[in-house]
Amino acid sequence: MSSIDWIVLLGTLAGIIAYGVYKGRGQHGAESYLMADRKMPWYVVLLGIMATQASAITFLSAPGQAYTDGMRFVQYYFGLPLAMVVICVTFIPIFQRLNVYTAYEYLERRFDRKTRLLTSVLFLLSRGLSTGISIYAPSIILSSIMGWNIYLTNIITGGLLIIYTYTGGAKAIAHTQKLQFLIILGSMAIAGFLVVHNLPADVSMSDALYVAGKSGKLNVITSGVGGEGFDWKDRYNIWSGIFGGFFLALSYFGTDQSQVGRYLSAKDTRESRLGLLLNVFVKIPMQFLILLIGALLFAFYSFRPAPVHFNESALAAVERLRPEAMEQIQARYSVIQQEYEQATHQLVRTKGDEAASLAAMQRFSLAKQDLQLTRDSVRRLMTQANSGQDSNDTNYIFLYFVKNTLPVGLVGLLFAVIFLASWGSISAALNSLASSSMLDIQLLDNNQKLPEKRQLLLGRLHTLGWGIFCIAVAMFATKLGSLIEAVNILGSLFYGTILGIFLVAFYVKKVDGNTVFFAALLAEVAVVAVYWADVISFLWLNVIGAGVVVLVCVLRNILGRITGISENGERKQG
Amino acid sequence: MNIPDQPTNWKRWYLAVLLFLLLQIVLYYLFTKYWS
Repeated sequence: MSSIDWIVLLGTLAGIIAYGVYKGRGQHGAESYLMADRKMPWYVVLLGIMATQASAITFLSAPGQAYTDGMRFVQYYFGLPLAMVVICVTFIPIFQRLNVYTAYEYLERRFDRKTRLLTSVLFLLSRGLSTGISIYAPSIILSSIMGWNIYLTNIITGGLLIIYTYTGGAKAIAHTQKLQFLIILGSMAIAGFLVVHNLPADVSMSDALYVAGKSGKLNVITSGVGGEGFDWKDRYNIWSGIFGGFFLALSYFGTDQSQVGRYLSAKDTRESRLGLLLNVFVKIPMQFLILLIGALLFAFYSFRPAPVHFNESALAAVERLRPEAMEQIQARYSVIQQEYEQATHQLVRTKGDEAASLAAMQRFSLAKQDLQLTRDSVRRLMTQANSGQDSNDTNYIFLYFVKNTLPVGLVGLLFAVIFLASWGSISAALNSLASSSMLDIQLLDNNQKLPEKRQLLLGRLHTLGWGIFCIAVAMFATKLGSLIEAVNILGSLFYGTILGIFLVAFYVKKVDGNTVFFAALLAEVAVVAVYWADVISFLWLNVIGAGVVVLVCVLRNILGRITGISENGERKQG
Repeated sequence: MNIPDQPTNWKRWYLAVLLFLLLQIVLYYLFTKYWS
């Protein structure tokens, strides 16, 4: 990176920290520190929700995901609008009326203390671990590109945001998220424009889309139905997106404190609802456009030379460890790459001429297949050489383009975007983890109101403690596949069960704490068993978890009515 | 951007959200078909 890029990068990060510390001043107690005094307007809630959901993983992995697997990942968000409506109708009015700090506080009022404890522990476990991965995600990429030590990078990535999260709490988080998200959106729009702008002079955007489409990268809607019927292990299709995605979104936005905390900081029910509903109008098109950048990058590297592997340091390592094998591969790759570029040009030239385009398509497909086989052989060699570097280069594709193609200044800005995106989601996660561990665990038996100063100190110590915990998790989070999926799979192991508990609380009457607690344990066992059996895609785990909890509680209700025995074991009178 | 301070018709909002989802699915389906 040039010195101008460094100035832009460091200046942006320092500016955000200073802004957060400034906006977060004047803290005086738990309500102020954890809930931003419940004064936030709808647009701050909206941007907060979006910044919390969109981590660095979203902006790095998504273009890579489209590059390798196509745009079908967008279907994952189709359940979101349905979930938002349910949350606005049922969840928000109840949370706001009871004036709760955490979603789990409601469960103690509805059921009992142990149900509150169980759900908050499940939340702390899953959110704590996934936040660690959110720190690791940008760190591994930056350390690989810059040659920094990964452990030191983890500490810097997770440590700097703690400065304003520790001092300013929810208020600092809300205001920095607003600014961070606007910078991120602007930068991504510029990056997308420059992908198209840097195509060869004789290639239009329509040509690029044509190549991406012919390579199966514009497969936004897929049915999941193959030769042998519906494939339950297919990760992203319209059905898993609508149904699995609905349960995941309902659980994430309705019961995950990192999101609940955002809309509970709103002035009133109306501001919370507006923030959530307007998210729908921005989120899916935004995700579509980010994935489109990835599909266009595929076309870009069909017309321009692409490396045999996008993780440059992993490539350098394998070249050092297996020089002869790599020399042979590189020589073969260079020939195939030239043939592939020519085949791509021919494919575009023959557009509209049916017979000629059929022959061109055959040539293009063969060249693409050869290219893929060569890239696979490099990956295999990396695994065999055991260089300790990531052989999966999905997360490196977008940054390879940024580093090697964008003009001076913009490179620094795009690198800053990675930090800002991760800070936005990590800071909200730390705030929610601190709220839950402080109020749902430590102060659970504390009936006396603590002095405000003590509340503030406790909130800050919990934030700091979780910051350190998450950095520690990041240290161990090596050797994961595509990071975007790792985080989602981790969430799916617990989300369904937590959602099931809340659904029973809201919709099933006459169920007591013992029943729901037992049902939750049963559901968690079922989810983990199905996950290990590996018979179904992870998005369906949410449906199973929530389904088992609700089913067990409803059956217990019906059984109770038939036998006339109430849930606390007493025979009903009359 | 100011939203007038008056009682909000939430049913209309929910309908708009669901119609938007439907519109997106139709548009993306056409997009997929057109470029495949």
